[in-house]
Amino acid sequence: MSEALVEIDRVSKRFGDYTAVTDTSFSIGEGEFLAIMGSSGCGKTTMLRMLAGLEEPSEGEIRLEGRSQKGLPPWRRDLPLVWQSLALFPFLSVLDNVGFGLKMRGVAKAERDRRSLAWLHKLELGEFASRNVMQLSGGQRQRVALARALVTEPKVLLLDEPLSALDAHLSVRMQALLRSLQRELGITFVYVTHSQTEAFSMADRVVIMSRGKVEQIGSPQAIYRHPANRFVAEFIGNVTILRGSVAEVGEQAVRLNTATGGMSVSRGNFAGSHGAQADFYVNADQIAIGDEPRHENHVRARFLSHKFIGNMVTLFLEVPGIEDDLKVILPERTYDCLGMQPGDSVVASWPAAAAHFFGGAA
Amino acid sequence: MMLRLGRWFGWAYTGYTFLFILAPIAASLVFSFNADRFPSLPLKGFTTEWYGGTFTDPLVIEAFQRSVMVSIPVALLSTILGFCAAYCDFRFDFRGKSLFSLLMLLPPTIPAVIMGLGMLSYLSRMSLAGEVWAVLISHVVIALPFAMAMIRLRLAQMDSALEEASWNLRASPAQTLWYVVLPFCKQSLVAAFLITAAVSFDEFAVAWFVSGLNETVPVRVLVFLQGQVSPVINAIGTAVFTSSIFLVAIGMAFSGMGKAKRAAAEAPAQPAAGALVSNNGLSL
Repeated sequence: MSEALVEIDRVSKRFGDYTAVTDTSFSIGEGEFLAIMGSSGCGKTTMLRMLAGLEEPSEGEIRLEGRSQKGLPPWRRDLPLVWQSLALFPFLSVLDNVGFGLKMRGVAKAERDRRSLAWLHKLELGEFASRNVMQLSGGQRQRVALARALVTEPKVLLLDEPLSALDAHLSVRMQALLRSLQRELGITFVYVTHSQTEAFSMADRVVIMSRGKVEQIGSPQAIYRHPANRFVAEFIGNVTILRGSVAEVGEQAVRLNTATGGMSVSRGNFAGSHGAQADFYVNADQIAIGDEPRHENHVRARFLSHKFIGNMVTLFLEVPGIEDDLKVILPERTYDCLGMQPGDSVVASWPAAAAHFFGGAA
Repeated sequence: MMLRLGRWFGWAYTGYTFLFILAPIAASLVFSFNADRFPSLPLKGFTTEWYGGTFTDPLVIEAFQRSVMVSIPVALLSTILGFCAAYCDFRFDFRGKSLFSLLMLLPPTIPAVIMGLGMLSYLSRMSLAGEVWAVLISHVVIALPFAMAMIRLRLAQMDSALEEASWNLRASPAQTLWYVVLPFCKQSLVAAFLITAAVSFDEFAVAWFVSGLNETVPVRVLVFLQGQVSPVINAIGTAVFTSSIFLVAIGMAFSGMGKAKRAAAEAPAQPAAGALVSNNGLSL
């Protein structure tokens, strides 16, 4: 990521009494693939609509290449959007749909058709140029929408949950296509989604939003390994949150007393002192399961249930004294070898390096 | 058992209603080809004499020409204004919007006699009563709500992102109206044109009040009726009915055209345009 292409500077957006986005600032680099992720109503779509000029920020401003976009209507901006509903023009052919943006820029018909056709060929839609968009399949329409937005060679492409209407198989293929297109073109993608899979598999950086605020910005790895707060941890769902009182602050690790006994947690930049209450989280994929403890932190737990996610298995364990289930992620083969049955008593253990304080990761 | 009885009753009732509406028209059609001067049974034999007589009568020809001369501009104006009204309703939020919509759709609910009388007193103050203009203006008032309602139905099917997508691709609001909204509504515009033409073509009551010497076909028919009971009237009635139903049928075909194609992509079905043309048919 090089210097900032888009700057979002203390932007708020209110609709009457409802605040959709609150005092949000972040910047987007040139050539970056940025995903804005959150559940519905978190303000991610409002953010995107403000970028496109479809909504005007109530406060703050958005700058593109250093120029304020304040008061600039959508038809004077160069930020094409790929719509969730696709919003293709049903009365136009595929070719004319793609060429619409060029036509509005006054590009002559021959040139317009040549450029549109080049994009259609690039996205393997060449043979459908003269068809009506209504005659295409979902995946094909998706690519027409993409071609329509990209044909004008923008610096930034906005995408609003473009894959949510596609089935899983098609969605995975489109993700690969989007990622390779973005690399090849070197333009900035701002991709709004509620899907963690989509955001984490494509984006260079992910912005996690909740109730109009940014909860965390970082690479998928950083967010996955080191959630900034309880919200992000629960949203990503790959950790178990525990609580204890500080017993001893050591060089590398902090010793805490929890409801299930003493635990060691990586110190990071933890600043609490003796006796303070602190939340910490344990990464689910760094917990070992067996009959004996294998690491310094260990609890006896009862195996409740499991869930397959591809070749990984998430186990849910009941630990006395802990309200939430302890989540453990194991490779499917490892799980198979354990031969556990629901109700079995097992020992879950993890090293201090698998447990962290929120925001404490260096 | 009760259910079957209920269904049977439903069909019978519907059938009776259709009979009630269509029987006079059917009678008019049958007698227009009957050789007997008087509409009585049994029928005397087939003839086209009355049609021949009708369409050589200069007064009838003049009335037909006038009806066409009025109905085309009426259809054009109603469709344009109807589109503007429907688009306002679709696109903008403003104070008193529901009142605006109510006023726009009010005219067909006003009894034709009251409407005609009102129009007459208003237009005569403007020294327009008895002019062709008077018929044209009155008919636009009556036909416009039909056009607006049909176009509004079509606009309601438009993905609101469509206009935004157009702006997003650098089309100004005016360009968006021209290149996106109008093409999207094209079929309903054609349908509105045809149906408002039909509304004007066979509207009688208001035209009777305001037309003066500039009689349209339905008014001419009444003048005939007052003087004599002639089979010519059946011939004219049948001709007017046929042309109106023809316009409405094409209009409906247009508004429903591509329905099958759209149905896959868009769920809301388009209610039949014919439902809007219920209180309007030449009753002889």
